[in-house]
Amino acid sequence: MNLHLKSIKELRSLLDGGDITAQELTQYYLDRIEKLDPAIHAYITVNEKAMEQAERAQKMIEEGCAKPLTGIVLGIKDNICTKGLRTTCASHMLEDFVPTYNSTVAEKLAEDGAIFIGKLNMDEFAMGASTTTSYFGNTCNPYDTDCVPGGSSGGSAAAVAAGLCVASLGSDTGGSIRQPAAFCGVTGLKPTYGRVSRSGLVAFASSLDQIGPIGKSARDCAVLLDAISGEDPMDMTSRPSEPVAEMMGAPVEGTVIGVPKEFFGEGLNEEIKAAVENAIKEFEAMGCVIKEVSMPSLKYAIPAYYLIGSAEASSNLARYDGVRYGHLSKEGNSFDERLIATRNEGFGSEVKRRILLGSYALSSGYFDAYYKKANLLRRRIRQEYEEIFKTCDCILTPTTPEAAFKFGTKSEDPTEMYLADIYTVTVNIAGLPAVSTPCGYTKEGLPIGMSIVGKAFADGQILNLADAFEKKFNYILNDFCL
Amino acid sequence: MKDLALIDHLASLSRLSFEGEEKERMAKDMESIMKLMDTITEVDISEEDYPLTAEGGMELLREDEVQPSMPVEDALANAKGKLYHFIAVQKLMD
Repeated sequence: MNLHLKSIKELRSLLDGGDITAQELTQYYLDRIEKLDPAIHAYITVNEKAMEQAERAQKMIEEGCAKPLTGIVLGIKDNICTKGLRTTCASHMLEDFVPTYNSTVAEKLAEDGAIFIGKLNMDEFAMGASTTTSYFGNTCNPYDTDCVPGGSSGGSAAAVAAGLCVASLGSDTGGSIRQPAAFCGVTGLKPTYGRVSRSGLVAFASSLDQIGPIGKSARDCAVLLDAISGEDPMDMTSRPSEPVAEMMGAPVEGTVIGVPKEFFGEGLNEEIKAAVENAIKEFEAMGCVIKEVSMPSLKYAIPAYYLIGSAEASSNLARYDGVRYGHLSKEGNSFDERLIATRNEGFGSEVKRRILLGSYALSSGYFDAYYKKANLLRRRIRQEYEEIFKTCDCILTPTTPEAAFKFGTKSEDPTEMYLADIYTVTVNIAGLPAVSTPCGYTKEGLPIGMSIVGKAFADGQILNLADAFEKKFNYILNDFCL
Repeated sequence: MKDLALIDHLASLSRLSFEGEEKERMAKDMESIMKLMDTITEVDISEEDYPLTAEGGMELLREDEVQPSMPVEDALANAKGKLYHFIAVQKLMD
């Protein structure tokens, strides 16, 4: 039985019906990881206690207390704290950090009886778009192992795509769920800012970060989103929200979809453009109304995002001093010398670049020109979204300007990678929900993703639209899933 | 032109340090990054158009009540230097 191709709903039925046990499902995935992960390297840590969790889940099932995710095998991005399970952020700085508490999302999932099969690779401190800045090495794309899986949640997307977990959690600060989901041919949701608690997520840019699900389908993402959503006293930016899984299957006829012209201009790969345009036609055939709209400030979104994100990162990462946790250098004759040596040794180059940029944007003499201006642009971009949403229910765009690229084909100039975030960062800047789902394949067989952006807390509506499209989409499985 | 003095200044603010080739490379990278960031300086936008007032949220602060705190052994679990129930660090002054 190809359990790795089954949806959460199908597995729920098999588990509740006694056709399989949680232990059997867990062993199935442990075997797949042992056999296939050496070629993908999605996992940094495989959970040695997964089978103990499976036993508890099976007991819940047998006692008739199963929740939607009881016994379901999940992978967790390695910047989400899991009690007793190493959480490295893919950094030398946290190489041996074992949290003594659960993040709120991990606590919720553990209470529901979900099984954490392991911790997934990522760009160091979630800073990157290719999972090549990880201290633990690269993750490969299951559709072509010579290609990157995207990032920063590259391990989370690759593990789902290769059938190495049922679904996974990622985090998205500027596209880090949606871009790897697009590169690996799976579905990934960046929820509305505030829908999911950030407590226990290792902070990168606190006003932009959000934890979200990656799954084989929008329906799987909806189930996982419901399990992790909710107001949390540990995160003052969290808000209550309505469940979304029950919205799946609602009619989409009459939905007004805005298509911003700026997202289809220079720099967009022709195959991706054609695939997204075909998807637009598909929605039109379903009875949706397509409307051209405009977002003039898109061209400034990348600098605004990198200035805000890096400024927050430089502040958030100031806590890594080697004292309470994390790497501690053996060099240095004074406290300050050892602190600097600790940070020099613990952080990789991309993290250091972002810290320097953030320090620059916040420093005396440059604050108004960069950080303040970036925040004014943030207001303008939000306003442009509000204008579009006066006449549209949602917005459809490509997720990325190009499909997954081969390792080593980007230049050494870091801005080349930054510019590839162009279609995803505005959503984080505005705090909106967006889902990426596959809408085609290149002639080389690499997946193409499109994004549906919704109004704040309309996560259910955009997942339902993605679900409607997925029902008509012809998926191509990669070799690891066949 | 690469600004090595700027790298030293930013490194000092960031509790980092760069020497030799790494400093040269970082200066080159930062030059390229700042060229990209400089594009926002051309935008005509002011606080009058978009006032940077605090957004809602203060009412969401939780009650200031004593809550259970992390046990000392948990707080010390990941510290490299420990002495009794304290974290030990290098001495800060002679």
